[in-house]
Amino acid sequence: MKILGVASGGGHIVELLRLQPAFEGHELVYMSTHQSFAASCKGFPYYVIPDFSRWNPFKIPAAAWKMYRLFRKIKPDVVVTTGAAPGVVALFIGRLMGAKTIWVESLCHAEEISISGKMCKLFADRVYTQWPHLASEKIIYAGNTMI
Amino acid sequence: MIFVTIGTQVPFDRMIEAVDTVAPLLKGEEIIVQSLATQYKAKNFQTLEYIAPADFKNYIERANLIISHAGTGTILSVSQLQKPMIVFPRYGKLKETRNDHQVATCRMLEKVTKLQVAYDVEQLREKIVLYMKGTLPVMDKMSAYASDSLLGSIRYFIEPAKNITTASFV
Repeated sequence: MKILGVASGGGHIVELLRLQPAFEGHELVYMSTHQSFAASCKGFPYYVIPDFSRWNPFKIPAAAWKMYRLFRKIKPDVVVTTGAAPGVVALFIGRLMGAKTIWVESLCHAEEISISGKMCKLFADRVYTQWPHLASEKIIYAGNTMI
Repeated sequence: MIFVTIGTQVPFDRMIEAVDTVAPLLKGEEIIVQSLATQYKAKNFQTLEYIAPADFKNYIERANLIISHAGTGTILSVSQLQKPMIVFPRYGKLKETRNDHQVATCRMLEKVTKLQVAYDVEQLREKIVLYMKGTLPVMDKMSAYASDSLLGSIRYFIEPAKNITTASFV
């Protein structure tokens, strides 16, 4: 199967890369918000997408369009993301295209589920939290990305 | 050599000023500081705006002590090298980052991995004194990947049929 991993720069991509053993035996492709992370994703096809957050929502339409076109080319069977906002859009596009979608909430959201996580709960096939006390019927705790 | 880094995204004047304040305690040690476009003018060291990823790795490997903002990338790299490190988290309320995620990460990691955290300049001073005495604890080495149970759960969700043996992971 073809797995597409999407994450913003910084901690998000660091956490995504730590999930790599889960995708062994599949074709893996990465997508992040800055060319500099290509080196961390060495050995796998890597695509750059524009960065945005809910603080600059006017950037979303152009970024979503670019992502949609890349998705048409990549044709992923599974889309997995560790956030942030670009990951929500990626899961949404993935869902529209019939891919399995997985949201892994960032480790730093220790007190409550993030706004992005709450949005993904509405349409993603699977949502993980990294904290047992935040798990619920629709949000799974199965361990974490760091320790 | 002491390597100081604030990451590659936004300036962090409060940390550079804090390091400048405690720098006299680090008698004789060379201090290399990566600071982006920080407004604060340090008295005790020169600053570099940008460091290429390869040089960054080199500096971390050469350093005796790393002082860093609480970015997970830097924390993980230094944890693998088992070197003294002090992290200085950015606060959301001071507009140093978008929210308090660095503080949340620090509170968790200091409990679970003995990560050394300075939440203000006074705590930074205390940790530097420990470092100079040679008694600053080194954080535990973190695993190279996510926990097996999380990896197993994702693997099984992607392809249930091939992973019957890991079915217990949900």
